Amino acid sequence: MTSLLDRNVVVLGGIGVGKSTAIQRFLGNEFTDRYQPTVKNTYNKKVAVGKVEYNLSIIDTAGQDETSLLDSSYVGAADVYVIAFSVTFRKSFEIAQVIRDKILDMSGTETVAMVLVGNKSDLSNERQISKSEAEQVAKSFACPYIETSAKENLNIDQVFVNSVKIANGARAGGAAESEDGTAQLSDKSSCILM
Amino acid sequence: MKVEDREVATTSAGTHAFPEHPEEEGEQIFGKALSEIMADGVIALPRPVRESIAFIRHHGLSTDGLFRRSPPSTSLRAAKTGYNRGQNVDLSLAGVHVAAVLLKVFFRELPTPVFSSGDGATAGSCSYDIVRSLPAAKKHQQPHNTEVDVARQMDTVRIRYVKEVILPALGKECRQLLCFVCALLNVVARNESANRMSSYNLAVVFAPNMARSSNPVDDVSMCGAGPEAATVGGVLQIMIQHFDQVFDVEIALALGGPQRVQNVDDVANEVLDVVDLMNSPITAANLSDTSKATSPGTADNKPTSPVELSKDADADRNSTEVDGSTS
Repeated sequence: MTSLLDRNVVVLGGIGVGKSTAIQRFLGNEFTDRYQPTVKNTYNKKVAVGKVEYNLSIIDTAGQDETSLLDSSYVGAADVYVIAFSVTFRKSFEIAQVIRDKILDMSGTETVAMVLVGNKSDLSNERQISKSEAEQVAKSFACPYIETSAKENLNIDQVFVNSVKIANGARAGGAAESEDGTAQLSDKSSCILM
Repeated sequence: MKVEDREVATTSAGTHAFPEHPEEEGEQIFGKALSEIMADGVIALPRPVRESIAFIRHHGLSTDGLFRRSPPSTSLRAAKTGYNRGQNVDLSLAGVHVAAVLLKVFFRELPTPVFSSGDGATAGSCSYDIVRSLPAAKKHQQPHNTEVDVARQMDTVRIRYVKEVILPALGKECRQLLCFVCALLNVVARNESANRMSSYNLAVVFAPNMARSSNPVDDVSMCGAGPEAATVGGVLQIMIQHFDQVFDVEIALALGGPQRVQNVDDVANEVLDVVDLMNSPITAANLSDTSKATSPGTADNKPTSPVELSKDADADRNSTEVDGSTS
């Protein structure tokens, strides 16, 4: 059942940062500002990266503190993490870093295959995290940083395409995947912060 | 919090805490069995529970994301430590989200989870198998009826299942505790336009604290909500939405007899008035000045005698509180 082209993406982040909304966007659905917490949902979508089509399994998780205990069940299943925060809410940025630490603790590895994602970039008036600050943290995590707006459908696809590249890099034991020439991720510490 | 902390006399940052008369509740509350901290079958709510309920009711109903958002972990830890040591905790300093999360933590740390897998390791919990048999709304059941009718009938079936199958699987202390907490959640959900927390949202954020087994994947699968969900979240949503029907036995016990429930318009708020009574200054006066942390609130029409948290409490209320009814 599992194919070499399956990639599991686990989307984590504090509450209300827009994890579910971003995923819905990626799945081709309309933006809603519906206020509804998530328990856990899994979605599947095919994504072409270069000439290869991957079967993406996207796991949407709860942002509440008490459910984070359940994170342990994701570790091992995930090829790559998308760790999201809201650029309008500093605490969510701190939570993103705590989440990464927790994954490190649980996995016992030194690096996390992840993408760091700063969502809600459309709310420029309310911004609390500058792009350069987030980029700096992403650099220290050796992962990509992508700024998104689920509302305006900005860069959402890029998050998941990058996730696949990171996952490929991690699977290859740190070697860059060269099938599309852009995944030059030379070590498996690569991550994308959303 | 560790029991070893009990010897430490210093107060924690973030709480206005000072030594208080030792209460019967002892110094450890979180993580203790309900049978130890709630007098047998009687409405003796643990102090963090009754104070948090009252505080949220009087100060938090329009707080956005109530029960969803998290407080700073330092404030939460300080408040929890305060309660575990039997100290006064000023929730108005700690904030509404601390009070809300204290309630969630209280459930999360119960040695016997409210719901669990029925593998024997967790006797006293309602098993997931029982929850999974919760009838689900099926739209095509009676095609000649309107959808509204069908939904209403399904509600009735689901309410009865929760009341007649799920609640009896729980200990009576647990049922009574759920009654008080769901009274609050019912009132919170009625303020959804201000706080954005519908009964669905409340069920989803509360369920993970009540569903705990050795299998975390199982636990997550039990936490969704909605009219078709045969899950802990689905059960909770029914308990919140149809509070007065699901808990009619527990409500009668809380209010002091079935006759006290008659002619009450707003049962949930009436039950919450009882929580105010438990926190009332008269009771607290015997113990030192604990009234500051709580809200005397809306118990004006109530008898001012303290709620006697003894086994005779029910009988007492039957005879003495009938005249004090607000109706």
